[in-house]
This record gives sequence, structure tokens and C-alpha cells, in this order.
Amino acid sequence: MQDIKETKEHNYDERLEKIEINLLLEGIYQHYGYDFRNYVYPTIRRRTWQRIRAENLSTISGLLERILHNKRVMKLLMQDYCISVTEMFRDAGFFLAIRKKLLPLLKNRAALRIWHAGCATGEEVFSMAILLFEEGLLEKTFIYATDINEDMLQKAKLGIFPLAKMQVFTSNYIKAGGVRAFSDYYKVSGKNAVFEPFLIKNALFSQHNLATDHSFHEFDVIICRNVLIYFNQYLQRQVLKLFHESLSIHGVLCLGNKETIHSTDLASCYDELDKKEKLYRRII
Amino acid sequence: MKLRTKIYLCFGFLVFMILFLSATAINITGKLKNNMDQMVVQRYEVVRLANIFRYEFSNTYIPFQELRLMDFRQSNVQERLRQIDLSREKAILALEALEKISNEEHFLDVLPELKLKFNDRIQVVKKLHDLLESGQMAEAIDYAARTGTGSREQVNEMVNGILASQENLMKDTLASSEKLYRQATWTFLVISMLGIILFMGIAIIVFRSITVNINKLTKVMSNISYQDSIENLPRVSINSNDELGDIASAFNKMAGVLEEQYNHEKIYNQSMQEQSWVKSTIAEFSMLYHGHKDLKNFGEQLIKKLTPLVGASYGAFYLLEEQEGQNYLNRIATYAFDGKAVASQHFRLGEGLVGECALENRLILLSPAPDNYIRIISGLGSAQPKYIIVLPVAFDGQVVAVIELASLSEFSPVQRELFGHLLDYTGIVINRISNQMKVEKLLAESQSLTEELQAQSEELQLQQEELRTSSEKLEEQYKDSQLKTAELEQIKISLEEQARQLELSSRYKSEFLSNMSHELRTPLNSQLVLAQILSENADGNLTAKQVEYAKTILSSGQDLLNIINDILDLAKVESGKMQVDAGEVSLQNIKKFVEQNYLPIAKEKGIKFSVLMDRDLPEIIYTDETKLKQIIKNLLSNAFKFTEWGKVLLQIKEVSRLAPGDKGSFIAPMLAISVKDTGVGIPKEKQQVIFEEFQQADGSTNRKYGGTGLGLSISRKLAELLGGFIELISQPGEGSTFTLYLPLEINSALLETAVSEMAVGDRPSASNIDEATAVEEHEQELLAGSKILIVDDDMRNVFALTAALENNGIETLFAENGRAGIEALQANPDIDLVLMDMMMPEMDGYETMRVIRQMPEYETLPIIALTAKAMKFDREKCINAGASDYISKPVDLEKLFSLIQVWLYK
Repeated sequence: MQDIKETKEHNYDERLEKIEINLLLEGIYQHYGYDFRNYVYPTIRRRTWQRIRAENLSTISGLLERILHNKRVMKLLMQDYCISVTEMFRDAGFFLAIRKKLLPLLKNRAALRIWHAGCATGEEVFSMAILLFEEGLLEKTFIYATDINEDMLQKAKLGIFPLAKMQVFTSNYIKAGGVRAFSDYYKVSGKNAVFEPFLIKNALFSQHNLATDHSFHEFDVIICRNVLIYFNQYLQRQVLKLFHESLSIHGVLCLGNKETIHSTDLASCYDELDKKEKLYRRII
Repeated sequence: MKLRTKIYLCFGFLVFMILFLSATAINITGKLKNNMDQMVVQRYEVVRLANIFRYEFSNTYIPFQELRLMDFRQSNVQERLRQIDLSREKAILALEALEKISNEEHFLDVLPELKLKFNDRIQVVKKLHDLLESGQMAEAIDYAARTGTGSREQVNEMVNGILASQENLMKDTLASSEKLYRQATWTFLVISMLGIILFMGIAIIVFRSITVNINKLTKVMSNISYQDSIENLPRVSINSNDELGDIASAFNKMAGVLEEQYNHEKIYNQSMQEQSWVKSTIAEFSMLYHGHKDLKNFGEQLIKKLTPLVGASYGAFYLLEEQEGQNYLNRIATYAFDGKAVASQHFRLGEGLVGECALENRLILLSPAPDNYIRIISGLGSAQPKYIIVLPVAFDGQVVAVIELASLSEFSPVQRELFGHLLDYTGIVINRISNQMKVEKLLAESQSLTEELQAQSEELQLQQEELRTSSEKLEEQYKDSQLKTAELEQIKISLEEQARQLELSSRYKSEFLSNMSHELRTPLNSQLVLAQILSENADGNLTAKQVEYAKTILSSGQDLLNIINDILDLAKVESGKMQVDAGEVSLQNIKKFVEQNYLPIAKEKGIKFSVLMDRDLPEIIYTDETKLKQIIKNLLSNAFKFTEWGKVLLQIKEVSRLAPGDKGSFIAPMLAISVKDTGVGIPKEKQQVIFEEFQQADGSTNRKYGGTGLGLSISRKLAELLGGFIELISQPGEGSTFTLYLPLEINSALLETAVSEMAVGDRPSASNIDEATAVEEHEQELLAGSKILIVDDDMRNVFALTAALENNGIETLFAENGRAGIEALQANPDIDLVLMDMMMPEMDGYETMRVIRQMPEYETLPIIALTAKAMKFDREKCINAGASDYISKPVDLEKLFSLIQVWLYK
């Protein structure tokens, strides 16, 4: 079965495929308001085909029909499109850089505002909260965690992560320079580890679409990791502009380690606080 | 005439005048002197001589007188004679002198007469003289008396005449001298005057002629001023041949040279200015060229600057671009572009002047531009440009762009030169920018590739996760469908209510047992630990007997614990608390596990034990490994227990079996695990009973073989839980064969049914499990049956930990120090986790962890470090030594259990 569909996908006319995908994305945008039109094409293409296979369909147009008339399929496709691969203290070096380079800069602020754009299921939000707690900054920090996917936000709010990942999380935590025991922050319940709710007592989880929504506050730190990679050049630029408008002077923008601000003309407005871990400090 | 000659002439004339005047004066003075000489010497001589003559002549008369007067004395005669001779002589001399003078002068015409008279006299005198001498005195006196004095008067007269004439002469001479003097004075005066006048005249002429020219020269020279242009210097118009003339001509020459020099300089300056304009313009452009990253932007800037700079009024910039394999000149920037212009946006190479210019790499000048070629438009009007220039911009001989300019005025050579320089430079810049653009494009491409790679890797990660959770999803789906089945079967369930009530009471019993067992286990654990410590007799203060007692306590305790565990298991199964944790199970692993555990026992008992596996068995089956092992363990333990001699055989094969019950209405491949022994065997009527709780084949069995009789019933329930069943074939005295049939892949639907069937309760639906119950179940499941090694020297700590762990069904081992810990680990390869104290005698925790980590089989064994104080340094040291995680003492049990669950999770 699978093989037959693969070949079907491969035999598809490239031009037609493009047209159909454009129609699909346009349809989603017009009907549901989710704007995937400026997402990177190859990924969208692959994820679309995956959904088509899962739905036992054979054409993209067929999927469009189902999407428009079935909210559930839209929800599934949404999950396909919003790839949320995340871990607590993912890329330990990044969190070490945050701890060693970024937080000392913010130590003397009266209040801090942090925006986690594309927080997915919240692993990084909790990681950041643990960092802030250990550096004595959690009390005066307000964290805004946003994502396009409401379901993921609901998960993120709970702070419940599968036990299967906890070993990796623990070693990440240690590598990221944790100063306490990681077990201080969670209790195991069933197959899950439930994190201490005090960590997100000052956090607000809310839906925000980077592609269509505007800036909503001024922030001292904006964290948006491995989100831009799913956007095309145009959208990347738009989003970076949005971040720029939302960042205070001397605020810091944190990107994923494969992402860069250098593709835009905003690069000159930033200093590299950490080149490898992509911490950019706004200077003008 | 030369100035020198003039001055020589002037002064020469002066000298000449002086000489002339001197000569005249000398001449006149000489004449005067001559006159005076004549007058004084000649006249005076004549007078003197005349007087002398007269005197001497007179003297000749004296003797005659004396004779006449007869005074003449003979005695004096002689002397008189001599006197007369002397006077005569003197008179002759005087007369001769006069004669000499009279030869020169004509005034002495009386002289010969005088001479005659005189001669006569002389004769007379001579006669007298002779008479006297002869002594004839009387005759002499007569003679003297006869000769009178007459001649004397005459001579006197004559002499006086001479004297008078001489005096006249002298007067004449004086007069002529005076006249001459006067004449000379006048002459001198006149000549002097004339000379002075003449000299002054000459001098004036000469000096005038000099000063006039000098003045002219001065005037001309002073007319030259610095401010005035030296383009036209004044010339001196002196045509004389003298030195001033030379100076003038030299000056004129100099002026000429200066003018020439000036003109040269002017031309040079102009060219310098032009050069500097060109250079500064280029410099300006180079500023412009700086920092461009975009060719369109650059082209716009260039054309906007260049066009007005060269006075052009229209400009266009075409860039050579490749489109679909063909080179086009694309207009990317314009200046004062008229939208209505007919010119096209693209040119192919060789097309139009623009294309031609690019093709030939040659400047094209259209001058004058043809009518209606293009119009330069402003708000007030429009005009026809006169000149059109098309310039190629090349790099390395390859045209990269073309600039077209239209101007109302001609392009100057300087502007053309500027074009030359600028075009070269522009070519380089365009090349640089286009290279830069290429590099940036590549960079952007590589960035987007990197991003896509990252995206893909995340996608893959996600897919992996999706795969991992697909089974769970499947389960859920089955649960969903099951839910529907459950709903449909609602009525049926209500019909079975009574049966449920019955079962409920059985469950209460199980729960009671389960709780009891828990309560029993806690004190028993402590007892066991102490008994073990005692039996080891570490301090050596127990007698052999006491050690034996301790060992007995330990073994009976362990038996008791086993019984309690069995009861607990059964109770769990009965009360539905036991969940199936399905996973991949390697049959080879099962075989290894069996051999590892039972070969030693077989050896001890002297029974043969072998494991047989079919060749075509699947490597992996999908079921709950722990429970499978438990069943096999139970069956084998049973077999070994009842077999005194002979052999025990474990056989695994794949068979097709009809599953029992109404759900198994189809034939499926199943795994058959048989345990065959040569033991006592079970009579047919007892075969069903032995699967019931607390039942054995024979009431006496209990006493003989020990055991609770719970093993088989637990096994059966577990087998059902796993979707399988157990079959027994036995003949008393010939041994028995227990066969466990299991599906190759655990059927979740079946599983769910099994669970729901067993788990009697007030659960409204299968998908909405009461969370607390589920959590508890899971905890029990994850922790129960695991094996944890505690390495700590502090007994109180060991106690506390052991009690807590045992309480949760965890099997615990402990070691007093690192070395013992390693030994324990080696003796029990199935240890799941190690709790390691750091501060220990002999071998501390760090050292122990390092040694353990060096053993390849324990590389990933979870080791939890128990750190004394919450010290950052200690933690780092732990992690570096190989700890997986750490927890600080005193241990918070809740945290410890969370931690253990994290690290036991597989």
C-alpha cells in the first residue's frame, strides 16, 4: 500500500503539485485563517503528502476538500505542519550561554519580560523558568509563551512531560550548568513527570500567529528557536522585523543554532552576544 | 653710438680742450718771452756795446789832449800807449760785436761809417804811437795839436744815433709785446668760452640720450605688476645700438619668454585642473561605489550622479544579464527618463546601438543626434539633444554594462577622459558587486539549505516520535472501538451484574490480601536485612551456630517474602491493578535468562536441563517481557520442585492454534512455550484444581515440597492477561508438560477486554480511567520487580532506603562499600539501578563509579549519586565520575521515587 502511494506521489506533475499545494494553503488561510503560504515549500509538500497518505487519499485537491469540510482533518494537518520537536534544555550550550552571558546582563533589571515565540509543548519555557529560578530572576520575570497551535499550548500549560524523555532532559539539565538537582522540579506521576507549577506562575500561554499577528508588547528577551527554519525568506524577514519591533533597546533575540539574522538588513542593529548559540543583542 | 663711446668722446673733448687751451697759452707766453728777450738782450747788448765803443773811442783821445796840454810826461808815455792800445782793442771788439748784431739787424747801417772813422782814428793813434815811441816828442805834440778832436764828435754823434734807434726799437718791442699779450688773453678767453659751451653741449646731448632710454626702460619695467596679467607684457621700444638697446632687447626677450612660460603654465594649469577634476570626480565616484551590494541600486546612483556631472540631460544604465541562456542588456536605471520614450527595456547583444556598443566594446558617439531621436523634457518645455554617447562598461575585456547619455552640448575631451577612467573603474565595481551578489546568493542558499536540513531533521525526529507513539495511538483507537463495543454490550453487562457483584467481593478479598501483604512486607524487609547482616558476621563475634540461626531466619524470611509476593501478585491480578506493558521481547534473551537462572539449580539438584528453540521462530515477539518471564519462572520452578530425577526441558516453537473462548474464533499463529518434566505428574481429576488459588495436587504436597500453590494460578492469570493460556498434559508418575500459548503480537483489543473483564469497578468508560488509579498502577508496575543496589556504609540509611524501596515491590541489594558494591553488581547482572553514597571508607563513590563505568556492560547503568550537601562542586564531581543523576541527603523519598522512575524507564 505504502509503496503504491509513494510512487503516486513521485509520479505527480511538479507544476500541478505546486498549484494544488498553493490552492490548499490559500484555502486553509481563507477558511481557517492559518497562514502557511510562506512556509518552506519542501517541508509543506512532504507533510501534506504524509497527511494524504494517512487519510487514504490520492490527491492534494482531495485533501483540500476534506480539510474544508472537516475540522478534525484540519487539526491533524495543523499538527503535521507545526513540527514541534523540542526537549528541555535542548542544545545545552544554548542554555549555558543564556545562564552565563544573558542573565548576568539582566540581573539588575527591576522587571523582565520574555517572549517565547513558538513554544510548542512548553519544554523550553520550563527550562527557561528553571534557569531564571536558579539565577534568582524568576520572581521578577514575566514569560509570554505563544504558539500557533492551541492544542500544544494546552499541553504546555500542564507541564507534564513523558517519563521516556526525562533521562535525556536530566543530562541536558546537567550539561546546561544546572546548580540544583533536576529532581527538585518534578514529581513522577504515571508515565509522566509533572513539573512544579510555581515555575510558570508568572507565565502566560497564548495563541499567536507569527505569520499574521502583530507585536503585542516590548520585551527584554525574545526566544524563537527552530521556527524560522520552516519559513521562507520573505516570512523570515517579516518575523525578524516583528521581533525587532518587539524588542527593547539592549534586548536580546535568541534564535536556533541553524538560524541567523544576517540574511536581513537588520543585522546591523544587533551585536553578537554569542555567535555560536545565536544570541543577538539589539543595539539600535 | 655706444654709451661708452659717448662718454669717452665727451671726456676726450674735455681733455682736448684743456690741452688746446694750454698750448695756446704756452705759445703766447713764448712769444711774449721772445719779444722780451729781443728787447732786453739784443737792444741792451747793442746799447752796451755802443756805449763801450764810445767810451773806448773817447779813450783814444785822452793822450792827445794831454800832449797838447804839455802835461804829457815822458814817464807816462809807455803806460799811455798801452792804454791806447787797450782802448783800441776794446773798441774793435765792441765794434765787431756790433757788427755781428748788425748783421742780423738792419738798423746799423751807420756802422761802416763808424768803422771808417774808427779806422782813421786808429791810423792816427798808430802814428802818434809810433812818434811817441820813437821819442819825437815835439813832433808827437805838434801832431797831437794838428789832429783835432773833430772825429770824436762825429763818432759820438753816430753812437748816439745808434742808441736812439735802439731805444725806439725797444719801445716798439714793448708795444708789440703788450699788444701780443692783450691779443693772447682775448684769444684764450674766447677759446675757453667756446670750449666750455661746446663741452656742455656735447655733455647734455650725451646724458640726455642715456637718461631718456633709461627712463623709458624704467617706466616699462615699473609698469609690470604682479596683479596684472602677464599674458601681455609691455615691450620697450628702444632701437638704439647701445647697451640700453641691448638691455631693452634683453628685456623684451625676457618678457617674451615670460609670456611664453605663462602661456605654457596656463595650459599646464588647465590640464592639471582638468586632471584634478577627473581625479576628484573619480574619487567621488569611488565613494559612491563603496558599500553597494545591489547592482540596481548601484546603477541608479551611478546614472544619477554621472549624468548631471557631465552636463548630460538624459541617461540610461543597461546591465548585461543572462536570461534563459541568452545575454540581454537590461535597463535597470535611468536619469530624467521619459516614460513615453520608444526605447525598449531589453537589448540583445548587437541589437541597436546599445547592443552594438556592448558587442564591440566600443564607444559610440552620435553627433549630431538625428531629429526626434529623443527629447529632453522639463516642466517648461522640451528640447532635442545634440549629442548622444553610448559607453561600454567592461571588465577584463568583457562588457558588463552599457551607459547611454544624451546631452545638449558636446562632451569635452576631459569628460571623455573621465568616461574612460570611470568606465574601467565601474567595470571593476560591477564585477565586484555581481561577485558579491553571487556569494551572498550562495550564502543565502547555503543558509536556507542548512535551515531546510534542520527542518528535515526535526521532521524526521518528529516522524520517529510519531512512529514510536503509533502503537499507543493504535491502542487508543482500539480503546475507542472497544468503547463502542462496551456501549453496545451495556445490556449484556447489566445482565452480568450479579456475577460482577460476586467478583467484586473476590476483589475485596484480593485488595485485603494485597494491603495485608504490604503491611507484612515492610517489617519483614527490615528483618531480612538484619538477618543478612547478622549471617555475614562481619564483626566476627557470632558463633557458627548463631550464624546458622541467622541464616535460617534469613531463608525462612525470604520464603515468607516470596509467599507474600505471590499473594500480592495474585491479588494485583485479581483486583485488576496489573497492567500489561507490551514491548519487543527477544526470544534469545528469554533463553539466556532461563539458562542463567536455572542451569545452576539443575546442577545443584542433579537434573538435566535444556532449552530447545525451533529454527524458524521469530526473533522478536511483542508482549510484556516481565510477565512472560514470571510465567516461565513459575512453570520452571514448579517443574524443578516436583522433579527428583531425570530432566526438565523448555521448548519454544510456533504453532497455529485456535484461541480459546468466544474471542478466539480464528486460527492464529501462536508461540508455544512448553515446560516438560519427569516429575511426579498430576492425576487427571486434579489437573483443573491446581490452577485454583491455594490448591495443590495433593494436600500433603505442601509439606513435602513447600510453596504456596499460588504460582500456577498467578501464571494462568498472567497468561490470560497477555492474551494467551496455559495447557497441561500429564500422567501421574510420567511427569507433566505445561504449555504456555501466547500470541506473537499482543492484541490490544483482546488485552483491553482482558483487563476490563478482570478489572471490575465503577469505571464509566475505558478511555476515562481514574488517573490516580492509573498512576498508582503504573508506579507499582515500573518499580515492582526491579532490582536496586544500594551502596552505602551508613546502616541507618540503608535501612530507611531498603524499607521504602521494598515497600514498593523493589528488590534491594546492598553493599557496605564501593568494592563490595562492584562485587554485588558482578554477581547480579540484572541490577537495574544503583544508589551510590559518595562518602565511604575504602573505596568512595567517585572511585566506584569510575570503575563501574569502565566496565562496558555497565556503561549505561543508571547510577544515582547520594551527595551529602547541596554543593555544586560535588555534583560536578559526581557527573564527571559517571553518575547519571544525583539527589542530596537527607533523601526526600518522594523525589527519590520520581528519580528512580525516571531512570528505570526503558
